[in-house]
Amino acid sequence: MREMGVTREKHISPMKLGLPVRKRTLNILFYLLCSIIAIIMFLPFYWSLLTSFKPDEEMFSMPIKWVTTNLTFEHYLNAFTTVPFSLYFWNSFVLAASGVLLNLFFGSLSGYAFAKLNFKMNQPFFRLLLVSMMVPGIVTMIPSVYVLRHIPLMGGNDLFGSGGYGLMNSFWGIILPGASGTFAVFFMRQFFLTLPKDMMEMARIEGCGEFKIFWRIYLPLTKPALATLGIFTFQAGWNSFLWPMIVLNDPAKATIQMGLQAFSYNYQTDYGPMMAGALVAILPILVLFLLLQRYFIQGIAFSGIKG
Amino acid sequence: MASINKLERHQARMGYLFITPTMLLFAVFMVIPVVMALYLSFTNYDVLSTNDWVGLENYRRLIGDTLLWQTFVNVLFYAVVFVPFNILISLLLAMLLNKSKGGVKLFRTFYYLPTLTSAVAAATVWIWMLHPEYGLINGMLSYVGIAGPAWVSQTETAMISIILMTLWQSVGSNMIIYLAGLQGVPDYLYESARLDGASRFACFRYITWPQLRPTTFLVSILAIIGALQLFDQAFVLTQGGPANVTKTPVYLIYQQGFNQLQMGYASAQAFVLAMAILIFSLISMKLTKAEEPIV
Amino acid sequence: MRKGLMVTLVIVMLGALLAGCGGSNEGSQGSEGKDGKVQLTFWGDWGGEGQKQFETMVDAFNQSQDKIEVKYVLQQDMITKFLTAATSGGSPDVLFWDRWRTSLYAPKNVLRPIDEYMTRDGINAGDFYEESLKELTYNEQLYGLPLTVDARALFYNKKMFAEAGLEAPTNWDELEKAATALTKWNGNKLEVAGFSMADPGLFSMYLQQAGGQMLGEDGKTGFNSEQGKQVLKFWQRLLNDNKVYKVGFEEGLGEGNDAFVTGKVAMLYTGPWMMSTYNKYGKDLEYGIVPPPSGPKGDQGSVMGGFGLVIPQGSKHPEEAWEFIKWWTANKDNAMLWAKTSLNMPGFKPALEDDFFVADPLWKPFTETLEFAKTRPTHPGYSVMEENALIPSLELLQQNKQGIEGTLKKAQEQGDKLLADNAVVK
Repeated sequence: MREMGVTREKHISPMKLGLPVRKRTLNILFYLLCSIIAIIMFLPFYWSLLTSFKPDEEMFSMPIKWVTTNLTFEHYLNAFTTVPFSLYFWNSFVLAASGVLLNLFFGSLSGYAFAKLNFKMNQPFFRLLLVSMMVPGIVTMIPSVYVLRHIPLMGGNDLFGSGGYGLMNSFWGIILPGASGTFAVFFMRQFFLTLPKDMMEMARIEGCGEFKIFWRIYLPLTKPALATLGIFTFQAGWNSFLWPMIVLNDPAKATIQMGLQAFSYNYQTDYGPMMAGALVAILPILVLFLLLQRYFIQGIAFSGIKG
Repeated sequence: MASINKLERHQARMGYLFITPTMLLFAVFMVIPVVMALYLSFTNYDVLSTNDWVGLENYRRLIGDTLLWQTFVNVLFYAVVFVPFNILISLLLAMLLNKSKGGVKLFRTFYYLPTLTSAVAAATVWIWMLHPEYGLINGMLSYVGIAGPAWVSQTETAMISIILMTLWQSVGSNMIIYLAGLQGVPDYLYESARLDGASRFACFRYITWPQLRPTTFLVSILAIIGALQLFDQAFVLTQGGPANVTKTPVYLIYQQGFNQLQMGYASAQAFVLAMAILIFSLISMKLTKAEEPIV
Repeated sequence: MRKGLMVTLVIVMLGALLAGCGGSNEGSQGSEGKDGKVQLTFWGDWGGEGQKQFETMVDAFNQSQDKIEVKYVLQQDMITKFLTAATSGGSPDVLFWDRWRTSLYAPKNVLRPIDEYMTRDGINAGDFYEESLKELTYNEQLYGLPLTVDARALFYNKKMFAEAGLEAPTNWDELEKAATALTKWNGNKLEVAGFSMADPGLFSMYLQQAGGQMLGEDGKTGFNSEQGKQVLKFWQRLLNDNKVYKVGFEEGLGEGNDAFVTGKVAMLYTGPWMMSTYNKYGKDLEYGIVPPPSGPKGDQGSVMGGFGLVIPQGSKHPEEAWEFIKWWTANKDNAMLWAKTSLNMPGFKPALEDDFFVADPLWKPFTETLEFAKTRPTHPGYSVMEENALIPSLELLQQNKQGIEGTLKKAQEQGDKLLADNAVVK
């Protein structure tokens, strides 16, 4: 697709005189604008980068000093010796990655059903999902713990959900409640809505099963949406703090965000190691973001069905 | 006729089948806790010892809770400014970067960075930018002869500071949603429009915007919920001050439930907030006709 | 290729899940260990350096005897975790405790009274500050022992004082004069603030200095009084007449009070916890500390705070938990080890009489301040009253949007309501 766009422009541009100059000015304006916005977006990130490399005594100054010659790795060393990063990374990765896989699958499956299939409870169920997002999570937290603890037949519980610890202190207690997040369903539904219905009818006439229509025809068309949802769910899972902290007791199961909270005590915070740790912690999301960007290609959804 | 009915029935069955896993998980991990919380809002639940039915007592107390209503006004103001700007800016950014030019991927990454930057770093730099004496913004204002306010600490500007910072924080992810949405707009629509001599604005007005309607609905509902449930993002900047102007309902709910151990009352506050969010969403849906063709 | 990757990912994750699953309850209850020792779980919310300090003490205790083994578990959001643990049966044996919460939690029967242990083991209550024990008491029962005590005192920049030829202030008038002399304006830009007025929450401290009371005997607010007005008049003099400060000046200056490190504030009220920060960040900073200046009638005042150790009712080993608490808080050697490790002031008075504190010019003012410092009233609604009624109203005064009478009246009305709403209902 990209090559096509380029060649098309090449064909068109010589046709009108004066266009190259205008085009070049537009181009310069484009990059100027983008760069100014980029600086604003980047500044706090740059500050945290700088802070993570500055020695303690230079850390605080007002106005902020944006350059320093005095770089040190001590905060990174400190962060890595205080917090067992590799273990926490692994735990968080397991939680976030399973969240992504489950949400992409279940979210798109039910998002598709809500967007494209007719059934009586379609609207009522969907509205129920939406409304549930409006109840602040902090008041359902303690009831949720209760539910988790009383899941029947899990973690030493009997058939009626008592006697043991249910899903407390287990990764399942984090994965299952978030396995098919309302956000994922809502998100995927909105993207399936934009796709035309005629492909579905055509496939049905050819005798295609409903699941196959979803899996083979519609799902591949939502790659940009799936990539986006993938980033969001990964980031949400990776950054979640409160719920894992409540559910997990075993320090060996702790997550990266719990580790990052380890730099505060007695009204004080060790900003250097905290910034260093936070920067290391966002690397996986950054890598994922860069990787998934290749799915953002104009028109990918319709290249197959044009004509 | 009979076969169409059969097909429809089959379709409906498959529909239910597809949503079963979601709805089961939803029932266990969402419906049950919400119903429990609703029940608790009629009790004097304190998490630790008591759990007695008090009827409408909590809701009655709520009516006279002037601070709670003030926080509602605070987030309402916040939402009314934040939500439209959020949609506008993220859509503009998405259209700006919906190109296959060199460097575009890099720019997208940079615009997404605020959602990844640690809250402490974000607050530190924003407070610096908004600082009355050393701040970038007041520095620029003084060039044109305006003495800028103490943004974060003054009652008039504290909420505006929060709006600025949270916009900065959230437009990146909404830009990505819009970018994904823009990929779904078929090229041939633009091509034929261009053949008909349509202007850029007309293309946007009659193709892009209507095609993005479901995406806009998604973004605006999420923004409304996020805005009215505002909590930690505001807290890192102003800690609820000055003079309560940046305290939010969720802040009070947290304080009441977890610090003051009045979880029953906190639950009542939370359900009133949920109602407010619902009403706000319905009004915004009416105003923007966002979901009209679909729901 | 990508499919293969996905499949591997799924398999790896399933493996990891199976390994990490099964709702076990380890770490949630003390139990008999392998070598017959009683295992205790100790929860706190101090990470980083603080965690190391705690672990130093825990290790020392574990080595001091052979019956009990304590393990420190960091709970980043301890109160939330404790509340959910209380409902799901996984209570720790010892809690690191912000003392002011006692009046909220003790009525709910989740903390264990320790009076019988105190009398049995002959622990002398007089070895602790009466005020700090008051904060751990509810209905005449004691629920824990103070681990640290602190109070705010006046920090001042020695260099600036020497340059201006000033002495550290001892009363409000001297404070006002010094602050005025040290403030530097450049046009309408404040360069050096003579005295930090960033935290209106310190009102209660000024009120003590003026001889007033935050709460009256009737459990209602008591600050709308002559003394309250005196305090606000003093504030207005400093802010409006002498212009020693500008609202928002310290906003975001590093770690809260960092304007002091960078020499942009000449004096401020803060506590001993900031000393390590100042020593760490302030290479060129030379500071002195004096007890808070006294008010117009010579009254002295500061607010005592600090932490304690308590035993939750859910603990299965309260006896052993008490042994640990007693070892740490009521023994001079251990209290000194704690003081030297953490640079906190221990709650145990005999330790505070050690040369470490009395001979050090930076510690001495704090030990003096503690003699007259008062803890916050133990009303369970006190902190919400301060945070949601009093401070917001004071902020309006500081921004000249409200007069003295109106400020106190508004704070009183809303404060009384919050106190009533948050009183213990039994």
